[in-house]
Amino acid sequence: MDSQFVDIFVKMLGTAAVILVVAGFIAVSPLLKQSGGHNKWKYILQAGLVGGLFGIYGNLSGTAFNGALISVRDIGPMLAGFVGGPVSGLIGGFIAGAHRLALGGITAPPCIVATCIIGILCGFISLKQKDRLVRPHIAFITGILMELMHLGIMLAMVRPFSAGISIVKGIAVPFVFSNAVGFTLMIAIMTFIENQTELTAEKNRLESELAVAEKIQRSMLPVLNNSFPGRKELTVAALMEPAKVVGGDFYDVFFVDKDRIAFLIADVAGKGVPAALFMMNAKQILTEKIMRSTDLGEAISAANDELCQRNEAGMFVTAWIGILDLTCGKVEYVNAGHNPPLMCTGAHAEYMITRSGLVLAGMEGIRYRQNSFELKPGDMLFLYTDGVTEAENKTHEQLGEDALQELLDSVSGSDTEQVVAQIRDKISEHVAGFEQSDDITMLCIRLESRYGDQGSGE
Amino acid sequence: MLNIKETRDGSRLTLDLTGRLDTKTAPDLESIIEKGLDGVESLIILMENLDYISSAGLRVLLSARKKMKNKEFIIEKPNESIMGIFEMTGFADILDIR
Repeated sequence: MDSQFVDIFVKMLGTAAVILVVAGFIAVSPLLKQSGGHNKWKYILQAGLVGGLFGIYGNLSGTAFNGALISVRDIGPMLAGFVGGPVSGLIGGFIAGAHRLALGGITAPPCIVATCIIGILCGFISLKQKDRLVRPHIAFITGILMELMHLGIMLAMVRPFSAGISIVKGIAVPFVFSNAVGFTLMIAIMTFIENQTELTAEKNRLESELAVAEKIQRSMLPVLNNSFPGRKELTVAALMEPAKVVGGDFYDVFFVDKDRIAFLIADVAGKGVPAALFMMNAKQILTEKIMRSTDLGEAISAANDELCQRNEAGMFVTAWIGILDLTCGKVEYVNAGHNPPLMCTGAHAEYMITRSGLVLAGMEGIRYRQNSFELKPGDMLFLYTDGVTEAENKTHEQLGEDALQELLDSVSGSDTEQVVAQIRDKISEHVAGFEQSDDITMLCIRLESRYGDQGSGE
Repeated sequence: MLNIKETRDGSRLTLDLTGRLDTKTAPDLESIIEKGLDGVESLIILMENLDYISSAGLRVLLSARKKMKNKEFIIEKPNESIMGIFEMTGFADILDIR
């Protein structure tokens, strides 16, 4: 290969590398970050200086040609103008041009005129721009126009005219091309780095918002550790672990009146923020309707109608809702499309498979009917969402309903908090570090004694 | 992965689903339901080759049912496990499943 070409190629690579470093430096350094009004002149001066210094680098790295210099010097004033405005452009252009003048040569005087004009013009162009940095294609077009103008000034000032013509003919293509491409490269890199920086800042802001959202959601769920404040007839424990920071699963336990306690578990379709927003609404409406109505079926039907009316996004929620009468152990319940809970009697766990109603918020006007069964002292109910049975390991094997049943058989003698903890451990063991894909929620409730029974459960 | 084969025959649209209808793939079906139901009097979703449906998939079926109100909307040949999900979630009561 022609050694002159190799030289030029190597030189251009070096120049590109310097452009990358300068662009990176400007994008990340606080030096050229505009901050407030009172530092305005300092900023303008700094922008001019950075541009001027780059111009000097351009002069020093240029290639001499018949008293002219093929260099990327003009990127300096363009940069100064675009970053700092016309005054910065003039400062940058003057520094770069003065240095060029000191180097001498037939094109030196037109160069300082051109660099100053380029700096000022780019400064005015930047004032018309809304963004801090121009778009790369505008940078490219500007670069070409500025360099053509520079050649024009050269023709107008170099005497004799024929000398000017021969210089321009010799340098025009590499001169215009290298400055326009170099400037575009610099702007593109700066834009890229600044966008990345903004994205990171935005991500951090969203993360801190989500952390607050997580606290709000968590505070909606009662903390239950094998007890219910003030009551010794029952023990209850629960856990909710969202797959993302916030989730759509929820549970609740609250007294409807002196003797009857409502407990429920629910799973909003989807996960993350949309599910969490819907969950807050669903929980509120369910609590309100359950507290207000004496008939559980009617309460859930009313809750469903209200959820349907405020459901632009077409979300839905599955729920299993029970009310336990502590005087007799009778449980009235409604299943709205939820996984059947497990009833644990002694060391035996059995799925309570009954006919289910439709998921809530799915269709208006559905009548949900309540059913009932009886809990005897010592009996335990285990409610869960499908994040438990569908927990997957890395080969996509789900934990499964049979495994959950066997697990409960083996741990049902423990207290409710231990049951929840042991099942959680088994899930961890099964998934073996594979990413959690769905919210995991469990609610475990045991009737210890009936209200008024003598001594039982003590 | 979900593959949707669309067949239009006059006012009848048949969607033949192959694969999994879950959080990742439900938007593909949703966009057809949102945009492609103009003039459709009969919508048939063929599930013979569908392996799995998640709650995101059920959501799309609900919105299809709303769009096809008072029109024909049929689910054909869901497999046993999907039928189990339809029964557990109560969808079996509101969908025309054949």
